[in-house]
Amino acid sequence: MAGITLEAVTKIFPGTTVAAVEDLDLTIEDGEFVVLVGPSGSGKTTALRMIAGLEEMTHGRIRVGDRTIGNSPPRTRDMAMVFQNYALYPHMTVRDNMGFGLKMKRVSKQQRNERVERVAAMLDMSELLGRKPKELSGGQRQRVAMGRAIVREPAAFLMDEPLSNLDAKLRVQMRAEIANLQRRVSTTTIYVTHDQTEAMTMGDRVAVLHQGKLLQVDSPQELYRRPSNLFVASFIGSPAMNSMPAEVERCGEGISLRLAGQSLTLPRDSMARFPHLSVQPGAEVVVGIRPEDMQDPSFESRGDAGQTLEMRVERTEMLGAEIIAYMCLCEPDLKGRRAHAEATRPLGAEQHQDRNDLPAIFTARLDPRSVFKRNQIVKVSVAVDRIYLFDPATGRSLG
Amino acid sequence: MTSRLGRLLRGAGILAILAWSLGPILIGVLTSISTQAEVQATPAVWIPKSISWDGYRALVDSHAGAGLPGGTETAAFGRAMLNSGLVTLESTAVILVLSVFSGYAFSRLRFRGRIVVLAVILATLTIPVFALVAPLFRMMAGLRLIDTQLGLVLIYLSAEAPLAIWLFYNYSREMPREPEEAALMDGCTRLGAFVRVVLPQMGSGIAALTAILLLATWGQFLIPLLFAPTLNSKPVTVLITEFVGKYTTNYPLLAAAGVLAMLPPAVVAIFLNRHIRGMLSGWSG
Repeated sequence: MAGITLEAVTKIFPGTTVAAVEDLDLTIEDGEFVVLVGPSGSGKTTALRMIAGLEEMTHGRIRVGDRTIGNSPPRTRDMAMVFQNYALYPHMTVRDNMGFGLKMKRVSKQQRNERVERVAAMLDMSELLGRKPKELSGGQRQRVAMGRAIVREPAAFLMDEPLSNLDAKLRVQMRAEIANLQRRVSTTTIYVTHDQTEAMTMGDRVAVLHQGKLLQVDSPQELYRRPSNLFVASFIGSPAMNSMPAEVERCGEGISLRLAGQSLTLPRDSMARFPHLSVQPGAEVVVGIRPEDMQDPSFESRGDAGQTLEMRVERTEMLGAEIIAYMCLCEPDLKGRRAHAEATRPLGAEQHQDRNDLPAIFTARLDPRSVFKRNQIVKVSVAVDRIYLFDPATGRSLG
Repeated sequence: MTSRLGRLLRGAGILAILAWSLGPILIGVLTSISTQAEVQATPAVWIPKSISWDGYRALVDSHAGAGLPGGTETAAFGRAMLNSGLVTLESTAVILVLSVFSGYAFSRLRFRGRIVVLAVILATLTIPVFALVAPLFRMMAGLRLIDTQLGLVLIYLSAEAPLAIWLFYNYSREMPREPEEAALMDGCTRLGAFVRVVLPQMGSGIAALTAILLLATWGQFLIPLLFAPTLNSKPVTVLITEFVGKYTTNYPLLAAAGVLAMLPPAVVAIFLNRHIRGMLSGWSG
């Protein structure tokens, strides 16, 4: 077992000029579970494949423990990979699938069988050992793929979206299982997913990638509480963080934000919270508000219903324990613009959410007792002490 | 009513096709067990009164054939069958190995000129054999490969390999990469992954292509007619034509030779039939 260090790892695919992965620096401690998360095309799978040796680096350095592995072939790296579509050997039984890596290492048949059986018992699939992959369900195949990796006792596990082919219920179950298993065997694990919930629930640390660049790597909690930029802020969390451009004004010792004709006053200490904020007249920022930081004032638990925004309820979804409300800011001239947009919208076209055309839709997590109704104009209290501010040009957090 | 008529027409159609394709075989079998007199009788005798094995006996035992018209060729029959069998097996084996490896290489490995080389190989498919016969003959003569099994194998290789390469190129392309990558991760070299993981998955494709190659090579006529003049390499397809005498022809003998020559491809077709159908209806792994 060993930690893995990536130094300026870059991949430019032949025939392209844009780097699929650009100067990726990442240190993964021995035994750590790190999740690489990002939308499709963010370079997370390419990064994983370079660590595996299935893809050559254009330049950079990868170290496993104190060994530099460069572009050496996968078999020399002592890593096991779990693929998205399981990649079981279709012509072999489960036993042979799991034992294949050991066979390649010339482990004796008896030892091989012992190890395969031990891992099969651990994964609760001893009765599957004689079957071929095509006789297994998706969940069982997934288990075999995991088993095949575990049996080898490699230096690291590499997992490439291993749960994305499973149905929702099984996915949640396997998510917990994999995380538990990793803790039991405490093998360094790099796990790739596009699903932020998976990332947040499984990883010791989560690395967010976007367009080939590593934006932030932190514990799930830190990532949620202190996103380093707007992309991370809106990618992590479900429903996503609301964001909207606003003008900053100084207001006594505090700061006031003007959003589409309405204003929010930040508490006094906010100058300290946002050290990178410039309060020049007319300065613009992007305001970020988490859905749970917007509430129906009647149910504001913190007794601070002072800061509110007037909004119009577009739609609500009752989820039992909470209500998800989709609302837009009431602007003085909104009515006219809406009417115009509705009139010019092509028949059957989806409702527009372009910030320049119509105001952004805000999502709020409301108390289930809230009685907000569709098309109602309501006051929504905003937890201004938990507001996020970002530089509109770079997207960087100002906090 | 219409559906009944439709069924009737369809049945008649199927019967016609069966008669068309099986008729000659049936006539061949019946002729092979008739006597020369029965074959030449007018009005024609379709079903022989008693089974005569003379034709077969002559082919198997050269002494038995010595007195019959065409009897001199009968001694050669066994040798020609052996030639056919050897050349067919040799060229099928060579083409299979070559096309499986190169089809895979063209689909998976990235090397300079990959597409160009593949295109050139495939382009040779468009050249008719007739156009090449004269230059090929000179070339083979220069290489002293006329009337050798190696010569025939090389010609079949150049004629049949491009299609086989193309088939395996497509077959490999459609195969998921991941099991192979899993094998690389599990400690295989590229060749190891190919042999242990890719090749076994190609089983049905290989079986189908084997059948097709065996059938196509066994049935070759024009090439051996020109390049295999003596029993050193002459296959049965060419030899049979020599049973037709200038003045008389021993029809039962000719038919018996035909029936025996049909047996190996029939066995291949029966055993590999499932795979051939699989390939014709799309390469399902």
